[in-house]
Amino acid sequence: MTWWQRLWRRTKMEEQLEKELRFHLDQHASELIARGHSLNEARRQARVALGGPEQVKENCRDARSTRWLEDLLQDFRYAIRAVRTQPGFAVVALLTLALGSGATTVMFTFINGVLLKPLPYPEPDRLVTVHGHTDTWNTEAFGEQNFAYFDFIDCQRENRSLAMAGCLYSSGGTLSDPGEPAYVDRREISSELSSVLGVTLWRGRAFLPEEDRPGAAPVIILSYSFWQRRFAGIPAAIGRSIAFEGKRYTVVGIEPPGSRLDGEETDVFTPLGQNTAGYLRNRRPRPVGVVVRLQPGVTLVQAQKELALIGGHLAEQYPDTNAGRAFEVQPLRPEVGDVRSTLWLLLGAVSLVLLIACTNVASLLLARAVSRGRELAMRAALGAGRSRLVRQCLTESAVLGLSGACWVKNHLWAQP
Amino acid sequence: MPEKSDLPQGTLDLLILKVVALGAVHGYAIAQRLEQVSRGVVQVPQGSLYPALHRLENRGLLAGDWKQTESGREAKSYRLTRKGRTQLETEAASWQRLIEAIGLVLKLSEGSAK
Repeated sequence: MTWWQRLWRRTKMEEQLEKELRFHLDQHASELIARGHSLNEARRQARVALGGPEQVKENCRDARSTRWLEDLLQDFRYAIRAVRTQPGFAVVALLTLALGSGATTVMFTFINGVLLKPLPYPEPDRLVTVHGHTDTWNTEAFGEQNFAYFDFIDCQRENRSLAMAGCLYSSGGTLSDPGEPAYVDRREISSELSSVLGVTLWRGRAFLPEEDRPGAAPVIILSYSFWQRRFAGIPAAIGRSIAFEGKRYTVVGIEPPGSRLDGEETDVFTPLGQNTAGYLRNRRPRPVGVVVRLQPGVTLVQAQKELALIGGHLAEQYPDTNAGRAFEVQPLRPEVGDVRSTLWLLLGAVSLVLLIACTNVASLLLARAVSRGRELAMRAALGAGRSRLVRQCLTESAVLGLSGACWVKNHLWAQP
Repeated sequence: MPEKSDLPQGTLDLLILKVVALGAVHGYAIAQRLEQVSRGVVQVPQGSLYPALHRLENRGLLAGDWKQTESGREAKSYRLTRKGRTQLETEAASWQRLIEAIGLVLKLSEGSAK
């Protein structure tokens, strides 16, 4: 019999145990009767020889390897009953625990998502970003300075230590075919983006370098969810022509599910190099965001030196736009601004709240323990060992704690 | 009547295995036979017989089946499993070695120790 059979067939095992011992007693008694003892005397002697039937049974139960589990279930049932008889106590304890652990969970989820999780790309520590820097630029007001498109192209061409990709976080537009016209989010990306991030497309291919130029054939990459929405996820979507902002594009690839560049999942991607807008053909505006993968063996400092050199050259070459403009390599992190330390502080505060909640519940339990002194004394008198009593109390506390956690799960995580 | 002695620690399992190896029997018969075979020297504590039987059953050394006895009642009778037989052999051999060694020590005379 396996252990779970033993557990499930507990009632049957109890019956069998009873039957086995009864057989023993009867057998012994009838033998004693045959030797001339009276019925009552024979029964008495048989029982004396065996020892207390309850003790023997208890020892037999101990011989089962599932004893601890049976005890646990028993304690569990008892704890549930205890909770039911004192609903006021249970509600107060649960509410306290739920508040404490709920707040901590929310805070930790936040910090985990924003600060702890590495970027979801291969070798995330080699992914960096480059920002522009000029003395007059106010980072606090405008955020980090991006790149002029031509500066990006020059840096990309001249450097040896970095693989650079650009992305224009700007324009959406109307998609009019296939289906109903609708506004879709669009990002313009340079052809290197997926190789720099180390992402393989779900279907199809990334943009080719020759498509990343003015006048090349218009091509478009769809996000996974957009592909599901508009094309019901059919593979034949690759090669289809779609109308975006009154221009026909050919679908060449599908992004993997869940890939997002900034916050929300973008619907469609077009090649950055095909955009001939004036603000890209000019070194003054700086709209292009840059993602960089350090080449193997290159450190952040080496990359910084090389980019400083290129920045110097550009400043000499184009003094009216690039004078005083430097490039700074920085580790790629989700943009959370200056809230890093605040978040940690909040987590600390919330953990303290949890601690206080636990202390409160502990004192509640302590108060109850005083009134339960009689019950525990009775159990000890009936033969419960110290460890058995401790286990029972632990199970009861665990039931409280788990119920609190379940409550948090149902009520807080259900919120969108 | 010779004085009854308590079983040395850990030998009850060995004795039970040996008795069961002679043929499938129920608990009461095991107790009886142990007492008869040891000529009443070994006092089998009946209270600890059943826990021991259940423990051996859980370890897979014994298997219990419910069978009709001659009197027509159902009784749980135990038989040795293959694992139980191997266990019995190893334990019996090590017990044999132990008593031989102890016998040797006890046989030492004062003179031979010098």
